[in-house]
Amino acid sequence: MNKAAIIAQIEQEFSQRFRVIDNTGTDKKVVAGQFPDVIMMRPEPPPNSDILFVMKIESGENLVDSVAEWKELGSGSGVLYIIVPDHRLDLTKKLASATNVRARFAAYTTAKDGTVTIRYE
Amino acid sequence: MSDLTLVAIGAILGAILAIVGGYVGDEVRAWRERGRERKSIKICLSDELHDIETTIGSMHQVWESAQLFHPSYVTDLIGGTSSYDTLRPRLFLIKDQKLRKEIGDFYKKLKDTARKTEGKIGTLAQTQEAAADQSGFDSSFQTLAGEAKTLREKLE
Repeated sequence: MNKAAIIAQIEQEFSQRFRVIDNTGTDKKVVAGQFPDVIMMRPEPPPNSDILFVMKIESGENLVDSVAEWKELGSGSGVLYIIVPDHRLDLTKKLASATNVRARFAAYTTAKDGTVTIRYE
Repeated sequence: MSDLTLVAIGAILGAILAIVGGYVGDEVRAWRERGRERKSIKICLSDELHDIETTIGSMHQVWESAQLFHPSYVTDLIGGTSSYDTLRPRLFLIKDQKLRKEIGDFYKKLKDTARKTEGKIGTLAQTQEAAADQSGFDSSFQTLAGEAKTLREKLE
């Protein structure tokens, strides 16, 4: 999984609508006691601290280990998006539903040339 | 009429006056308390309606700037009707029957509209259906904000 490419795609897609923060660097922001990979905030008027979305990008492996983190992130005021590989989407949804995680989902696919496509639900 | 009779009549009249006076006093006190309660109900509802207007205003601002309808505002709206929910059994103190009905109808409409948004807002999906849903909700909530303002003005 190329997390940087996925985040770049998210930034490209939404930077007009939101303040998109890549939270995978060194200066990480804490949301609900966790470190989401991407934070989306209200664009105007700056400065504001209204978190609209938090995103967690998963490789699709060991999803069960992430449930506790999802739960925390899903309990915050921002909507949690769990972004998983397309072939793991159904499994992720079932897992989230079974563990009462409040989240929305998105599935990503990576083409052979490295182009990332994300489908949001 | 003997002096004794006059004293007896005086005592009876005094007792009657005391009873009537006590009753009138109680009524006046109750009337003043109802007036105070009516005033406090109007102030509480008016404040709550103002908060509802503000929340819908913020919701609309986000919609305008990001084309997004965020669920946290709906959560705030649903959780922000406590004054009405608590005071509902005492609303009869508002004398204007039409206004009472308008208040009840407004809150019902607010809760129904908020319920309808469940699962349909806060999405990044860029489908026509999602966009139409969210745009429709914005119009509905804008109408509600207008109604809240009118009600608030009537209450004030």
